[in-house]
Amino acid sequence: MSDQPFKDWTSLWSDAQQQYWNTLQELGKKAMGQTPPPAANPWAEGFEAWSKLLQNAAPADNRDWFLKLAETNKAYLSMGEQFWKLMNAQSSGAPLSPENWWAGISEAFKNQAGSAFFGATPKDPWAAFASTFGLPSDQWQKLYAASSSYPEEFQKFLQGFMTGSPSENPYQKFLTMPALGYSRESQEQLQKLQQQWLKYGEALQGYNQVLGKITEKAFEIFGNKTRDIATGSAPSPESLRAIYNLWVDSGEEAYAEFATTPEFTKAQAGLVNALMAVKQQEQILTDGFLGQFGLPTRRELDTAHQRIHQLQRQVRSLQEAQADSGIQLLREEVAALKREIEGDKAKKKGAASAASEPKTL
Amino acid sequence: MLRPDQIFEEVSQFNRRIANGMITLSEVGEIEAGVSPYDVVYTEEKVRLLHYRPRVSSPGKVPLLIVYALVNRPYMTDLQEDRSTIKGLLDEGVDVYLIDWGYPDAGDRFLELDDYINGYLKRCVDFIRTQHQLPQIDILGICQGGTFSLCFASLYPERVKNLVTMVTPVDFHTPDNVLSLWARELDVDLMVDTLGNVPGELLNWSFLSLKPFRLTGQKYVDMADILEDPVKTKNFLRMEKWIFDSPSQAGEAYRQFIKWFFQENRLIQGGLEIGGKKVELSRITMPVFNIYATEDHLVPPDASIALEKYVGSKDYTPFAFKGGHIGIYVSGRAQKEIPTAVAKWLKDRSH
Repeated sequence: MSDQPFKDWTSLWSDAQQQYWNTLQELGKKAMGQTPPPAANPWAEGFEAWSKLLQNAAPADNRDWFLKLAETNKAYLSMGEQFWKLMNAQSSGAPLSPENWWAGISEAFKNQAGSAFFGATPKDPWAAFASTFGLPSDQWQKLYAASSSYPEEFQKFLQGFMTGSPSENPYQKFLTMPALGYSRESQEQLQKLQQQWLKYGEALQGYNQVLGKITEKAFEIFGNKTRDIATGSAPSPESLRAIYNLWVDSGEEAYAEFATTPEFTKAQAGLVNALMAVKQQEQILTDGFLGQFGLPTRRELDTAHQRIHQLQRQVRSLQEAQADSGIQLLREEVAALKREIEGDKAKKKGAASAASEPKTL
Repeated sequence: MLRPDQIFEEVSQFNRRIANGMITLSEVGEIEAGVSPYDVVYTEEKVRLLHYRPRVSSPGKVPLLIVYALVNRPYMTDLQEDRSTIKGLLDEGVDVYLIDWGYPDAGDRFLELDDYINGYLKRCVDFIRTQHQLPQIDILGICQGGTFSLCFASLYPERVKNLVTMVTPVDFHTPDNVLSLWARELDVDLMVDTLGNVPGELLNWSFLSLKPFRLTGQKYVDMADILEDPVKTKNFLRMEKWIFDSPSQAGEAYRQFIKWFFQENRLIQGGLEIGGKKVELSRITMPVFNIYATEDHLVPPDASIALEKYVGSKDYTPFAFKGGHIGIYVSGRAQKEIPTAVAKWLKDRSH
């Protein structure tokens, strides 16, 4: 592909920036009550629109990189925009003290975290950090989606029933009712799958709750750092990136504090274990379907693989034993030959000494 | 304090870099890795034994076998022309072999640690010994491959002349070992019984979760800074390729490694048996060179340093590298320090 289309895109982007500048000026005027309200997030939204256009033009091999970049940088731009708005609003009013200025920055981060633009919900505040700020639960959801054999929609449907603990959940009670009749076994297996799904949902909630605590802690640390800056006991960041890096440091600090606690390790392991339980039950059902169609099941393949593996090991063991025993035979043969040679030498020596003795009458 | 016009300028510059970066990305082409030429001298199922072509007229007489981890691909040791531990070793006159474990599939699900250590590794060592008509060779184990090398050296000390371990976990229960803390709560039986082989994506999730803010966010924001430079972009993408090029783990070997090492810490607590043979670090009496990274977040320094306390060798040399788990292969400092240090240490013990 020639780079011409990309140069065109670049100029398109430059033009768009000019428009953003105009929009931002409008925003400034709006702060003084002189213009109609513009788009909520012109940079980030514009970037998103632009990146969607470019996705189709990007070579297939690099599309994943581009998407990752676009996702990350859209969030970064949104952060810049939030700050810009904050500062622009401040600059239009009375000058702020450093303490208030940095308090505003800290507040802007909190707003970012709760921003609907990032799909955050009060239940899952960590979701706001999906792109810019790193996200174990987001990565986990992708992993889960890729590894699950059953439709995501069904899981979402079940999540609707997630209220309180499983023991208090009316749907859980329904799932524990005894199965009856001709299809009793398959009913029971389906019930088990749904029970495992509910447990997985609960584990995911628990994990997200711990992540939420980490976010809160990160805000606290970030707030402390900004207070230090405001009071002059720490150097002031001179760029948007430096503020972002300050936030990353705060996040990692908070995460490191939690990551080794029993609360976190149990929540994380609980999530993985719950997913494995879901998948195991899915496999039992899938094997059942495959068996009905006369197709080889995972269990049968495992049996075959295990037998091949055992046979391979036996063959190797025999080969090694044979090789070892061959060496032993050779060793024995060499030793026997040595003995024979030594014997011959001794005989010859004896004969020679007898021949050299003077003959007497 | 920042001013609004500064922010606008910074974001505009950022946008420009991203836009120009699209041109770079469209022209970057295939991301290749592994630069030093080699011959495949032995194969067994998916395992390949590579012999690197020498870069000096008369390389050392005792060859060095590199044993890499199962978790990622070994081309990290030979990533690119100016970042290659292997090239550095070849330049120092070391005769280098490397085991490429390959990508296990469902047919390899029942491979155990016994198959890897008493099987593949032992047969590769024996192949090299036969080729060079030597009773012993040198071994360099990296990360999990270092743990395998320790087990091997304990089981077959008569076949190892000198042992080098790099960023190798020995004590899996040091308080700062986050991965180990996480692994201890896992139901690994349920995981392996369910998944068979353990997918690389799952391991990647664990590794990225160690520093999520930096590894899944900041890294990609920082990438914008290099997007206008094709060489730097390609280097970044090469590293990215390595990070996500994670083979699945053979199920039974994974189960044993998690249980015996991460959960039960048997290498130092005792009770470790591989294929019915007892592994004891005190049986490692050959010279040992233990390289660890002071900033390692995957294998904390203390997890490696512990080796000194348990190893039977009277010739034990620790080497602290100032850097991280990845930097030890690819940083500029590593290129200068690691191959030279390894080659010198081996040379001093070549007689």
